[in-house]
Amino acid sequence: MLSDRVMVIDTDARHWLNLIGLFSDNKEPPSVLLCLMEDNHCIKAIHTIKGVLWGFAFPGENKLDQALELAGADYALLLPQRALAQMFYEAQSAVDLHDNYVKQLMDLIAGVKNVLDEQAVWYPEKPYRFEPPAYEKIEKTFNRIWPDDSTIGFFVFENTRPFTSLIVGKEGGKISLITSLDALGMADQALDFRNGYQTYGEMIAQRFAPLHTALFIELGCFHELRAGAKPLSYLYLAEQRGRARLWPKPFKLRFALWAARKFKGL
Amino acid sequence: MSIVVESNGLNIDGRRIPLLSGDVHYWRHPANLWPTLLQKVHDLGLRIISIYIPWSVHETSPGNFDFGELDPAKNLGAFLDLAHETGLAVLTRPGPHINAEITLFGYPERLFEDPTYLARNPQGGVLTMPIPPRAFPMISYASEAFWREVEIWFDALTPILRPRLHPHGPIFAMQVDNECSYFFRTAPYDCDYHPDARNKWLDFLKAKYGQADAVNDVYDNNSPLSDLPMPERFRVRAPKDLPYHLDWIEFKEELLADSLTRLRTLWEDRGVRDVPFFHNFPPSTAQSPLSITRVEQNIDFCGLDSYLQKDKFDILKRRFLFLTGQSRFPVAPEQASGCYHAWPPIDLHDQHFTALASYMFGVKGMNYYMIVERERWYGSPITRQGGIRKESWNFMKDHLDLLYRLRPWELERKVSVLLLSVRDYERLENASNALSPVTPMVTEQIWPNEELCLEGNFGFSRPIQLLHAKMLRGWERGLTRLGIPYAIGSTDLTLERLSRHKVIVCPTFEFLSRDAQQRLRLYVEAGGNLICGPEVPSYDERQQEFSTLDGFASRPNHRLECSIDTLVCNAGAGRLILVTEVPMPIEQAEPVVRAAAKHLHLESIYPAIPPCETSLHLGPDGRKVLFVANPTAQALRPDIITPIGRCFTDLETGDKFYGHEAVPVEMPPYTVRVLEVEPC
Repeated sequence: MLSDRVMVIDTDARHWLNLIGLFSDNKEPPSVLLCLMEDNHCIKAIHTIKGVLWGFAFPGENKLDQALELAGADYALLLPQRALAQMFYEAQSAVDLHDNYVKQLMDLIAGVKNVLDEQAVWYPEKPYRFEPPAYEKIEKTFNRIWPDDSTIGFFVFENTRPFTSLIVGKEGGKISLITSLDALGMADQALDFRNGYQTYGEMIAQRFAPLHTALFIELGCFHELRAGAKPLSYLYLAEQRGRARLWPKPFKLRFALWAARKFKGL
Repeated sequence: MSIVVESNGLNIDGRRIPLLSGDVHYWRHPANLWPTLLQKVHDLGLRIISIYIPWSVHETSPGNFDFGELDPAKNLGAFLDLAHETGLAVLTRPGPHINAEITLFGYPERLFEDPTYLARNPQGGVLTMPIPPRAFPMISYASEAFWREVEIWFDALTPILRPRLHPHGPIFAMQVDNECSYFFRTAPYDCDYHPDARNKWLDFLKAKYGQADAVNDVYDNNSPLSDLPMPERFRVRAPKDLPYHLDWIEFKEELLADSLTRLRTLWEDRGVRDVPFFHNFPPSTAQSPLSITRVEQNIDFCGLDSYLQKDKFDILKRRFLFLTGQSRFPVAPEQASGCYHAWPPIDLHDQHFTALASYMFGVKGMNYYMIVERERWYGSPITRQGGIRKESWNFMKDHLDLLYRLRPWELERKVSVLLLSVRDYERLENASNALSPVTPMVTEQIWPNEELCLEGNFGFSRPIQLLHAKMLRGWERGLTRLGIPYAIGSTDLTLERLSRHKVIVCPTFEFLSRDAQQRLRLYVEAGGNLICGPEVPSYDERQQEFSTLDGFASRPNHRLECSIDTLVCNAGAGRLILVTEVPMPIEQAEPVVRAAAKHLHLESIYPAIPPCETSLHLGPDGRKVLFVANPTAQALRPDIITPIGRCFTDLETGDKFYGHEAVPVEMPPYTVRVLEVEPC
C-alpha cells in the first residue's frame, strides 16, 4: 500500500504545518500507570504523564484501585518486566523485509498486542478494543475504492487562500506520491474553490494523474465538521451551502457516503 | 598544506575557516540543475556544502557501481568539481550508514538478505528498524563480513575522492559513518549478540584485564572464559556482580568508537588522509554507550545533531553543555533547516531559537540540514528546482548575516565550574534500565530528565544509578538560578581539560574507577577545587578496594554554613569539599550551591531573573557578547544585573538597553537576544 520509492515532494512548509495542526488534538490522553513487575513486586512505576514515580508504594495486585488513586492515573497496566524483551522479539521476528510498510507495521503491532494480551493486566479495563482486520482485507478495500494511476486531494481554504493542501498519488496498488499545491506553484494563489475546483483538477491531472476524488473545504467548516457527531451529514449540508465540495464524486464513493449517512447515522 | 582542527574552527593553510555549511543531496537532483543549485547556495552566503554519498544509490550489483556512467545524477566526481568551480568547499559523508531519509538508510538491499551482516538480539533474532517507507533489519558493525563489504564500497569511492582532497580539490573533511549508535537503539540488552560481537567482547575483556584468569577472578566465574555467556539481563544482588554488566556497557562504547576508528583507518589506508575526520552523534545527551571523549581519541572531532523545537530549551541546553564540555571542536553537524515529514514539525521560529541557543551554550559551527530541499524534506531555503522559498531564504540570509558579524566561533564562553558526569555511573544507569530493550533515545523524548533505571541499591548504601544524575541536575538548577555559568563534562576528560576549570562538581559514591579517582586527585593537588560526595569512593570499577581521595577527606578543616553537612578539606594546593548528604528533592541543592559559591568566590555573571538565562562570551578582540534567552511562551522583561552601568545592543535588531545595576530587557516569547556589552 505504500511504495518504498514514495516521492514526498514540494510540500510547502506552511501547508504541511497547517495540515498537521488540523489533526492535532490538544485533548490530553487518558493517563496510564505502568508497573513493571517481577515476582509480584513492582520494580518500576511510570506514570505516562507525570513520569517516573520513584519509590512508588505499590499496594498489591489486588488493590489496584488504591494504586490508581495513589498515582493519580486513569488506568493501571501491570506488565512483567521480562515481557518487554519478549514483545520486542516477537514483534521484530514477525516483520518481513519484503512486505510493504503497512503490512510490516501491522505485523509489528500484532506482535506487541499478542504479548500484551497474554501477559498484561489492565485495570479497571483494557482501554482499547482494537482488533486489527487482516491486512489482505485492508489492501483489497484500498484497491477497490481507489484505482491506480489516479490522485486524491484534500484542500482547505481560509477565505480564498489555500490554508493547506495534500495531493496523494497511487500507482501499482501503492501510494507513490505525496505533494501539495506547491508542486503546481499554487500554494499561495488565491482561487475560490467554488469556481476553481475544476481548474485544480485539470492542473493535477496534467502534472500527475487525474483526481479520483478531492475534498475542497473552508477552514471553519472543517473544524465544525470535526467537532460534530455526524461528519458526513454535516459535509452533505456544507456542500449544499457551498462551504465544501467533494469532487469528483465517483459512484462507489457517493453510494458509500449515502449508506454511511443513512444506515450508520454518520 | 595542512588542515588543523582548532577549538574555534578549521585552520586551513594558516587561515581559520568557520564551519558553516549546508547539506545538498546531489543524486536527488538532475545533473543539469546542479550549477543553479550550487550557485544559489553560494548566493545565500555559504562557502561550504556537506554531502552524503549513498552506497545503495551508486551500487548497481555487488561490486559494481555507477558514478555517472549510466545516470548523470550519480556523477559524484563531476558534482565535486562543479562545487570546486563554484567556490564551495565540501564535507563528504560517505557512510556506510547515511540515513538521509532514504529507504534502507543507504545500505544496499542485498545486505539485509544475508543474516551474516545483521545484528542480533539476545534470542538470536534480528532487530527491526520500523522506519518508513520500509522497515528493515539492523546491520551489525561487529560483523566482519559487513566490514569486507564496506571495503569494497570504499575501494570504489577512493579514485573519485582521493584526487579531490584539499588542496587539489574541494574536500576538506570526511565524516565517518552517521549517527553511529546501534541505529538509535542504546538500551543495554537489545543488541548486539552477533557471533562476531561475542568474539570482540571476549577480546575486549582479555585486553582490559590482561588475561582470562583475571576476568574470571573479577566475575567469580569458574568455567573457561570462552563459555561465559553474554549479559542478557541486569541481575545484580551485590557490588561484586556489577563488573560483568558495566564491562558490557563499556564494550558497547568501545564497539562504536572502534568502528569509527576503523572507518578512518580504511580511508587512510587508501590514501584518503591529511584531512580531518569527524563524526556526528544523533540528537541525544550522548551519554553511555555514546562517548564523545572516547570517539575523539581517534577521530578529530565529534559533534551532535540537533532537531529540536523551541519549547525543548532545557533538553537543548543540557545536550550542548555536555558537548561543549567535552568536544575539542563542538559543532552541530546537522542543525534543522526545514524538516523531515515524519518528524515532529520544526518551523522557522524553532530553527531561529534553537540555532542561537546552541551558540549561546558554546557551539562553534553548524551544518544546516537541508539547505537545498529535496524529496522527503520541506522548508529549506532553496527549492529542489533551484528557486527560493522566500521566508526560509530571508531567514537564512539574516541568520548568516548575524553569524558573520557575531563570529561565534571566535568567542569563548566564560565558565569556571565544570559539572562532571561519572562514566561509571552512566554505565550503571544504562545497564539497569528498567525498560530495556526500549531505547532510551525514545524514552528520553517522552520523559526527559527521568531516570528509567531500576531503583535497587545493589548492595550500596544508595541507588547510585538514580542519584548521580539527580545530584547533577540539582547543581545545574542551583547554578542557573544564581547566574553562575557552568559546563558539563565526563570523568573521561583528560587532566588538562579538567584543569581549565576552577571548580569541579562530581557526585561520588562508594565506587569510582581508578582512572577517574587518580585524575581527580591530581586535579586537587594541582590547586583545583573538587566538590564531591555524598561518599568518598573506596572501591574501584572492579569493586576492589581502592581510594585516592579518602586521605584528603579524613582531614576536614571546617564546615560550610548550610543546611547540609558540608566539609571543607585543604588538599595539596587545592580543596576537596565533601557534601555528605544527597539533597533531595533537587531544589534542596540550592543552599549547598549558594554556600559553595560564596566560599569559592564564584561570580554571578550578568544574571537575569529566571526563567530567563544569560551566557557571557568573550572575543579575542575584547568584545563582550551576552546571550539572553527567554525559553517560555510568555513575553518577559527580566532585569539583567550588572555591577556597573552597561549598554546592551542587540546585534540582530539594533535594539538598545541601558541601565545601572539592573538593565531591563524586553524578551518576546522564545527568543535569544545576542547583545553586545559596552560601558554606559
